[in-house]
Amino acid sequence: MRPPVPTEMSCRELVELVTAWHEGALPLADRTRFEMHLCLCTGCRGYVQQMRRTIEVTGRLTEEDVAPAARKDLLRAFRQFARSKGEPR
Amino acid sequence: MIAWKFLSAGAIGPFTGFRWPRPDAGGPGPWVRAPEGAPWERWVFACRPRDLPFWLDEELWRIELDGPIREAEFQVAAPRARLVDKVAAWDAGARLAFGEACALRARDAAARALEEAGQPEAGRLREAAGLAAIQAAAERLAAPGGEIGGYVADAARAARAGRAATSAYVTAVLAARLAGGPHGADAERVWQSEWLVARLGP
Repeated sequence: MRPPVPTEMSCRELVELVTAWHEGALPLADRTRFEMHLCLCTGCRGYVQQMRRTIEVTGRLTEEDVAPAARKDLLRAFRQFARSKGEPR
Repeated sequence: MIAWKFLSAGAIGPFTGFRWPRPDAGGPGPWVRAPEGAPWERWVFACRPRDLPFWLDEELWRIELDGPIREAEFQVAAPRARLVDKVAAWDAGARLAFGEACALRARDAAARALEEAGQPEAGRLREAAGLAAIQAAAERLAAPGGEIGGYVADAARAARAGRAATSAYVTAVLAARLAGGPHGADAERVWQSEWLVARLGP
């Protein structure tokens, strides 16, 4: 069914497109719909701002910034996740 | 070309986080250029009057666009631009007034539709004055007016919370619903842009 306003975007669709939007990979029509949605949805706006901040902060990290104990915990968690998915280690 | 641009508080681009250089005493701000060779989709975007209701934000600026101008469906773009001046009329009071005006339009459109359908609740909705009363009357609407009432309640709730963009959007969606197609929303957006231009001046 055609939506009542063809340019509208749901919150769910926005979440699916957020990575492409951050990377500047959305075609203009989709980018327009995405950004129009941000103008009227405070929840999605907050989500996108959190994503941007997360990318800014994590983008500055290097392997040396992770404490050895935290690194060990992370690797263990990733291995457990891979095992639970049946993926090769 | 002089166009309009909504920015977040502090002249910050709402999507890019770019801090626009502001005008200094008596003159426009410095030119901001898109990266050399950038496709037009990466130029500076701004609004024509008809685009205003789609891009509401805290601050509204007049912006000078220079170079080849590209017209898109909801925006206009140029490779370089500079802020000319801040539109003082777009303040907290104007944002509240616009949201309220949209919610009143939603109330009236819904009441008209309910009257035409022979719904007795139409009168109560039409008589509701003030956003709180409109929201309460809309929420009380029984089926089959419930869906329409939901739109009106949402528009009033958003307007009360100062979320003018949401109130405008919900009202446009209601207009599309009542008109049986997107042309209803298009007409509502035209009305909204005319309201804004009349309030904000040339």
